[in-house]
Amino acid sequence: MKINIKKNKLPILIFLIFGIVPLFLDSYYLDNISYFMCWSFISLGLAVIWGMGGVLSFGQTAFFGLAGYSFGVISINFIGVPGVGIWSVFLALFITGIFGLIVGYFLFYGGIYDVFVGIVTLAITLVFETFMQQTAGPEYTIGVARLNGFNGMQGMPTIGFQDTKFGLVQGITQYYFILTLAAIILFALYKFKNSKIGLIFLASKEDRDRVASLGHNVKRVQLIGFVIASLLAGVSGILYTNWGGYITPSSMGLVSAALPVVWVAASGKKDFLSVFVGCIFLVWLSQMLAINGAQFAIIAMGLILVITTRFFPDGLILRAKNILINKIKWLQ
Amino acid sequence: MAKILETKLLTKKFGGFTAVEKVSLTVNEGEVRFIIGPNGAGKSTFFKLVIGYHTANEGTILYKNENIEKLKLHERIKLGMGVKFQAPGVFSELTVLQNLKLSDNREKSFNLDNLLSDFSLKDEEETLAGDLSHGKKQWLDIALATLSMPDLVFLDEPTAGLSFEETKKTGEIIQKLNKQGITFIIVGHDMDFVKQIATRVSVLHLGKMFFEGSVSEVLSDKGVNNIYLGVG
Repeated sequence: MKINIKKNKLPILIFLIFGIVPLFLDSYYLDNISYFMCWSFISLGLAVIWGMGGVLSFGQTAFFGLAGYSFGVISINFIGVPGVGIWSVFLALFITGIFGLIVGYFLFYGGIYDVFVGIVTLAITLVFETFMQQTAGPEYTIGVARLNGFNGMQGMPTIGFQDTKFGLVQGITQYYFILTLAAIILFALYKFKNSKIGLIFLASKEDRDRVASLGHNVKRVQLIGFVIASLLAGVSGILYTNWGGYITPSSMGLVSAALPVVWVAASGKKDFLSVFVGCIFLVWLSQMLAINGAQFAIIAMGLILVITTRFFPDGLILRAKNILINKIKWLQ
Repeated sequence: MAKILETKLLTKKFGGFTAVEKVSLTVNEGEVRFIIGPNGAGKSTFFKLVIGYHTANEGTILYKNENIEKLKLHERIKLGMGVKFQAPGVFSELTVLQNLKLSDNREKSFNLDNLLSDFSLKDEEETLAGDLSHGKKQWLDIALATLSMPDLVFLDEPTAGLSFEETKKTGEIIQKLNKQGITFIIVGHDMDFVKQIATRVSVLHLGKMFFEGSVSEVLSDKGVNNIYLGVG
């Protein structure tokens, strides 16, 4: 792995700043930033499928919830088994990836495109939410894990190694774990974007038939992009479940499904770094506004989406990033 | 010369409308075959049937004596075909070089620098395709169709919107590529362009094959003059 420092000064600087933040903030704020960063992965996934591939999935939260619940069910059932805090994560991601593959297959190979992808994926997440809300009864138990209906599932073990110092993904370990994971995933996504398959995916946004007429299997490439996006939403779901120790059906609801779309659109869907930073900022903003009432946050996010779409179609954070790079020579 | 493409009684219907009716055509290796005809003659539909964009209702398509009807568009291209659609099909958000990287889909390909020079795109490698002039977009589009050294290239209206000089240069480039082994099937309107490079011409009218022959035969045929060239 080779990183061109000259060309990547801004991302390196941003991650260095995030890296030294724990020296100045107490655990309450660190946990909060960890929470904000949890959501960056679902946003990055949306930036892949929407920003790169031009396919707007409105139901990424279906994969978020599926991964969260899968992690919960597996880890609760196998609690005490060596390594469960590690392999349950991979198993939950595997389930999410397979589900993404099935949904993506029926979408792209079934000839469903454009706005209809958004409608279908939104329908999937709402069906998931509705189903999980009515699982309050004791009959809705998988092994020993109760789904627990509207109140959600809880009691899952923490990700990581139980008997190792700093081995559990919580507190400062959680902060650095998520930060490192974000850096690795960002790096991988930029590699993907610059690869041949990434180029095909980017081009398919403009003209699918022309890409096919150059000898490329567009449907397969779109499916790969969709699965990557599903997996990233799954990473968010698992990290969120681990962060709070619970997962609820509302995490797959309409508002939850809409928010990543707002974060990504407002940040700049074509640039992964902008999406990462913008998502953290906007989740923080939502939280600040929600102190005075959850509705304020939703209204504010809606306003931000309208303003961005009207005046900054490339995204607010991306615009700010470009201004910053133009103004500060050192960053160029 | 061996047959590179053969269609037998190819038919395409859109609802009750028959766009292409029982068209049989044979193209030999090394040809620059033009398909001409009035608007609505079925030229572009025929072209899209052969490359796999549309599925034929009836008939057979043989490429190098192999039946390719069941193959999808991208699978047919992999067999050694290149395509340029009627509207410029360049990717405006990608650079010229990135566009050409997309076209690099086979083991063999032309030297990229030479191709860029031929199409006057050498100094525009890092330019976004969307920022190119119309003429250069058409040339980039033709370059996309030819970079990977296909055996057969379909060009739909390659000189639409080009100036006289640009059209002439396009013809010269196509002739150069033809000499390097590419067979061309070109859908076009511009008779000067046809005269410049065509080795044989097929005339479609109302979805049917109306006439086929050399350029001089087509130009001297009364029927063709009547339906297409407007002289009669």
